[in-house]
Amino acid sequence: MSLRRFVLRRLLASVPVLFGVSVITFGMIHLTPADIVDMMVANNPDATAADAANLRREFGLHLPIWEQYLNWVAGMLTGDMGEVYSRGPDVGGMMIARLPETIALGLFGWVFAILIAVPGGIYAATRKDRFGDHASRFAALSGISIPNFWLGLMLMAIFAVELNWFPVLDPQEPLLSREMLWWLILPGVTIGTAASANLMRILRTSMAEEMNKDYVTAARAKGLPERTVIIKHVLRNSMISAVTVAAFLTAGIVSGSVVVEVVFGWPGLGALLIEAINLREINLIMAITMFVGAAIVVANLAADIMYAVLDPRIRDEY
Amino acid sequence: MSTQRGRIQITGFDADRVEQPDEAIWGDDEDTAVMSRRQRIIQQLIRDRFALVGVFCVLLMIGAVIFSRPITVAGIVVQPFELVPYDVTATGVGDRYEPPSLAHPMGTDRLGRDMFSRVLAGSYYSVTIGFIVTGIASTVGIIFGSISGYFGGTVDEIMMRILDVVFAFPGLILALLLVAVFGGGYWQLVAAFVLPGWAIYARLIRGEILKVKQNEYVLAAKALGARDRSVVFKHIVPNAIAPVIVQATLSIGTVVIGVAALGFLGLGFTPGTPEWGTILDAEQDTLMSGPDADWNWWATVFPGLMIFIFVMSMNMIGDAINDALDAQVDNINHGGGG
Amino acid sequence: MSGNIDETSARIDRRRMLQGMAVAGAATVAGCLGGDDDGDDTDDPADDEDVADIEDALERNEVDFDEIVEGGRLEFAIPRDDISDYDAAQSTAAEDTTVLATVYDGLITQNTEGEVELWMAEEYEVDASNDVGPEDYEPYMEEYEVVEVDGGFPAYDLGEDNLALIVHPEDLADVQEGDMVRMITREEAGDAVEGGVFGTRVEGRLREGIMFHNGTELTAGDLVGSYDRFVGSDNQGQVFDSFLHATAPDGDDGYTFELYSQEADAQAFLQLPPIEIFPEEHHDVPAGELDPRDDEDMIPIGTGPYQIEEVEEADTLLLTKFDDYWVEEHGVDSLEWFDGPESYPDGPVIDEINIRFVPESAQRAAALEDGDIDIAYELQSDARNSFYDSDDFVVSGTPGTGFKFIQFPMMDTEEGGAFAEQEIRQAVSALVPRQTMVDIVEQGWGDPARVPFPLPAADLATTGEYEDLFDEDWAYPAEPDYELAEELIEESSLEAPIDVIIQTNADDEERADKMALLVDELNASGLFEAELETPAALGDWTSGELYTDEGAQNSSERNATATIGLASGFDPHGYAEAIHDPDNYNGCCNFFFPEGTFDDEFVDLLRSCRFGEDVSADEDLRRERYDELWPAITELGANTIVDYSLTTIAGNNEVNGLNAHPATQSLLSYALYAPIDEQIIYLDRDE
Repeated sequence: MSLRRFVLRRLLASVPVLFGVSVITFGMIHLTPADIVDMMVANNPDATAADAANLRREFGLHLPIWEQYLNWVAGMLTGDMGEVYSRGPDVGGMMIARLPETIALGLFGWVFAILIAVPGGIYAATRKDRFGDHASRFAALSGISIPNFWLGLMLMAIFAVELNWFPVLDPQEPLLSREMLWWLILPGVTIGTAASANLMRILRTSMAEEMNKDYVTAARAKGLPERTVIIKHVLRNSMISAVTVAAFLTAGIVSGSVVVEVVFGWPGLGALLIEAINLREINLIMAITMFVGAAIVVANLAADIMYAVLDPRIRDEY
Repeated sequence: MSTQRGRIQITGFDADRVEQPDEAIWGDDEDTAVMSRRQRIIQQLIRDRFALVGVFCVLLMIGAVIFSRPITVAGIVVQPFELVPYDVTATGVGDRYEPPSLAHPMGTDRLGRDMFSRVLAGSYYSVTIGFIVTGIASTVGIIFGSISGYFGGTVDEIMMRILDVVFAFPGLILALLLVAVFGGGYWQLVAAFVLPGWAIYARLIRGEILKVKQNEYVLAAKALGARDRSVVFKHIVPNAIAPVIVQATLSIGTVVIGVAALGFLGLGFTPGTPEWGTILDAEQDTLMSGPDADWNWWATVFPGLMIFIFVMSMNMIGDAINDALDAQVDNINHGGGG
Repeated sequence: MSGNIDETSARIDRRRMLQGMAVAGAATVAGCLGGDDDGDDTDDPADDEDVADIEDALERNEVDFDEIVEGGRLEFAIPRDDISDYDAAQSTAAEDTTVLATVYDGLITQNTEGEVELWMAEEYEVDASNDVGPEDYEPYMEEYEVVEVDGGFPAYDLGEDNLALIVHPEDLADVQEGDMVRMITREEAGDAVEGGVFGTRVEGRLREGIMFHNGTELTAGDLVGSYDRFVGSDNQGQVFDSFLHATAPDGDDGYTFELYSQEADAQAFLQLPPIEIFPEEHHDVPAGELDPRDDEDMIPIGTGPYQIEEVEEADTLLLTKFDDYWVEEHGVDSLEWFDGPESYPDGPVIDEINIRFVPESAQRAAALEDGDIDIAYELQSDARNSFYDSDDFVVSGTPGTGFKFIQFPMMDTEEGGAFAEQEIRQAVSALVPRQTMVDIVEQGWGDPARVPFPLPAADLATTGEYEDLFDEDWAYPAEPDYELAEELIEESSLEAPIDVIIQTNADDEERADKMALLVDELNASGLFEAELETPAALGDWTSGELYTDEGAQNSSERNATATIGLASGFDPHGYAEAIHDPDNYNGCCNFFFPEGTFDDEFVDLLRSCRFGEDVSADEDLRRERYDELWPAITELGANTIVDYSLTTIAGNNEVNGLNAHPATQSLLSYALYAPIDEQIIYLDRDE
């Protein structure tokens, strides 16, 4: 099977996946005990049941669930993600406004993860079973085991409040300005820690394996400096296995963004999702879930393609 | 795509091996199996000092789960001991925010409740949910993955697409939605973590089965007319289970962090519950209590530390088991909450 | 999340904050709040140095007007992650109003004690009241067809900007699709008014030369046309529950206006004006669409001192000073009632206000301490204490309008049904550790409820002095009264201990903490075996369980009370009506009392405090009625109030003259500029 056909096939296969995600999410939102209208009128002393009925009709929430779902699908296919009921206007604008924030945070998390993981992994692999290896293993396990909300709170309390190295609130500068990048360090570290620890462990394992291979011995025998051997040969070959798990780590970062955005008050999609769930904003929940689902599907796809390029046998598995 | 997929080809036959499949064999390496799996794990745990400490911590916490408060089953007291010095919900047993002392080893919280009692009792939620979720999720995952991997073909295709759907939800987001549907609470949280959690086991065991089922004794068993169910669960699963065991150990920690994260977001348990994440949520304001204020560190440090110690311990144990079984599971932990 | 604001307060009726009209000197503030060192010898854990002496916070922070520094940019944090809705006609979130109150000015202004003075209105007074009921409107009613019945509620096809105001009560019984129903819509309202059928009429005249931010002048037409924007909005109920009609006798370009209510209403004065006055160019914008995040041309335009300069989703909201602000143009001396010094400025002096969205209380505290923001409110009590104790910050507080109450399910069910007995309800009420709750959970920043209304409402709520009422035998005890509770239980038909469940919503920690203290107290008394349950987040719980037909029945069977919080205003009526009136059953906030629960005498007394020609015309009569009502409410014991809020605001020492207003919605606009109290803040930055 050619690579192109493989990619095409995988792309097609992701359509039912996203369909499944949308059906499950839509169904679940409708199973919740209260809907958006309930939330809107529940604590307004002047709202009557008649007002609620009117709102439901206005939003189309009085229709049978399958009809509501079809309406939603029809909207999605025409690029209309529906309205944010408690506010009026459409979901699309809100998503576009919040998306860069979440992406910036995720990227920062990734940058941090790589900056720590690569040297850490090399260090551990070259000192396999020695003290440095054990220390880095301990550090990596700690990174995986520390709850990120706890880490974020602690970092903020120490570095932003006590030491005053960072502002507490984001500096309201453009995303790529120096002030903003400086501010993003703490949330980035918080969100990237787990990914970094995972990546470090994977790198260590695959590098250690790689270093036992014949070509490394041969390279060393040729008298190449150890540094060149490690970086040019071992690391490059090990990176491949690390890159292929990037999809999983990305899913982890997306998950983590929910909590980290809440802790740092960063107006991204994760924080928006919690708000949307609290208010039962169907269209908003759907849009965010679909976006995240699509992101994960794409990341998985990228990983599969990478695998397929590296190891053509894999294509037969799909 | 390959037409070979899922089809079994008989290439060799050895009747003796079929009748006595060696339990210790897995993978392709038939001759090196000398020790039983259990022995290997135990030996590795003893050799790996990190893991030994982990085992010790986990045992302590399980002890806390069992003995911190009396346990009654259907009205009968099955465990009468009560280690907690104070009622975990009793307010005013000390002053508001009393620092750690002999009377209150972890200080008191904002309502003058004893933190030590609460943190100790809190192990009940995290630890049991961690084990129960992993138990249920791995069982479901094994059954699902085995069926999918063994039968292959269309069955496999459909079942894998279902898996893809589950994987397209990051764990915490699905859990958030489920909590919105079912509300917070013990069994609701179990459900919220089982539903996204089983998929990884299904994928793992399916992958292993695809490898294992080409083995001679499996083919032979099939050729001899053994029923599908017995082939899968007597021959294939036991030989493919190593990575699942490793994954299960490692993911207990992930579940515990996830439960605590939901608690922290105020979505897991009702406010007064002595669950670690919920305590952290209620006490997070003590971290930033304004200028020149005393930092009531004990209110946040101890519950956070407990989460960390338990998860760390499970991960060290999982690591050791991974080494012992040489299962090479990459623990892709989705970060706090995944 | 812990940092989230009290959800109930976020959704309260915005108009209620204006519903108080106090003319005579208001009740005194000091003395009854916190810091009450003597005679308070309880053994609760908060007894020692933990509880703040908050007296200083209640004192006004004065400024020397000669030292005022003009200009600067104020960083102000609101406890939300974004403005919920920029369209004031649609928004129901308290924080939105906090911000938009600087953009829109009102007809009148109120000080922290509820006293009223004229603001954009030059004249404004109640002119006439008639005792009318729905039947009196019959001659003017038209028949409309019911096009749909949904959940028992008829819907009509009335056209744009129209809605049913008064429906003939006979036609509503068992209404079906296709039925014709007689009613007054906005179309017929004018005829009724012309025919002399209306409740209360308020006459007024706008000041001349008040400019909107878009350069047009405010006239009577803007006021009359603003009502259209509330039709079909989330605030429709608030505006049109009492409003009947508005006219501009001198034409739309004139300045005089007349407002009419549906029935004689003692609150008409404050209840009738539109919540915000919009310029003509916005009158046709449908509710919810006046939002610059979705359409950059849709910027809210008012006559207030600040205009919206820059908006970015969940990130930026910058307000700048409006150059042609009317008070500045006219001079503050042009306000006939103003008698302050000449040095008092003619308008706010701060140039820019940058609104920061910081939903978590811990973050607000950190950012205030760090200097990222200048002013924050809704801080957690420990943080508030340390800001209060610090020389670098100032905390100002004033008795607020929020209250927490416990509502008892009164059905006499087979199982449970304990709260059907008055003595049991009263016994629980007697055991509520009100002072301890405030001391521990609020660290003294609150006011234990002694009577069923708070200090800011005192002026209209009683003929006497607020604090004198504490000694009445019907007042709530501040600390548990075990003897009384025991007597009450003995008088009842039940035997101690009685199993009860104390319920509150899961998403408010402070409230849950207070109820945990109550449960402890109930259990310690030996009279009750109580348990705390926190069923769900507020919205889920109220709409999913409490506002259901089975809610009262189930709760009665389980002996389960409900505790939530609400905020009302300067008018006393909200404190009684929202939680008792059978008309509010299964709406906010009567969970348990359908028609027939209370005897008619009580309900009549309750309503006669606000509605009727007599109380509309005579404030003293109103006060006398309330003096009868409060003892009846505590005697009945259907609800018991736990405590009242203290509204606080905290700033750093670069902000001078910061004072809090009882309503959080007015915190910002009041702090910036309020001639009625000679209130002004200015920034004096070090650099």
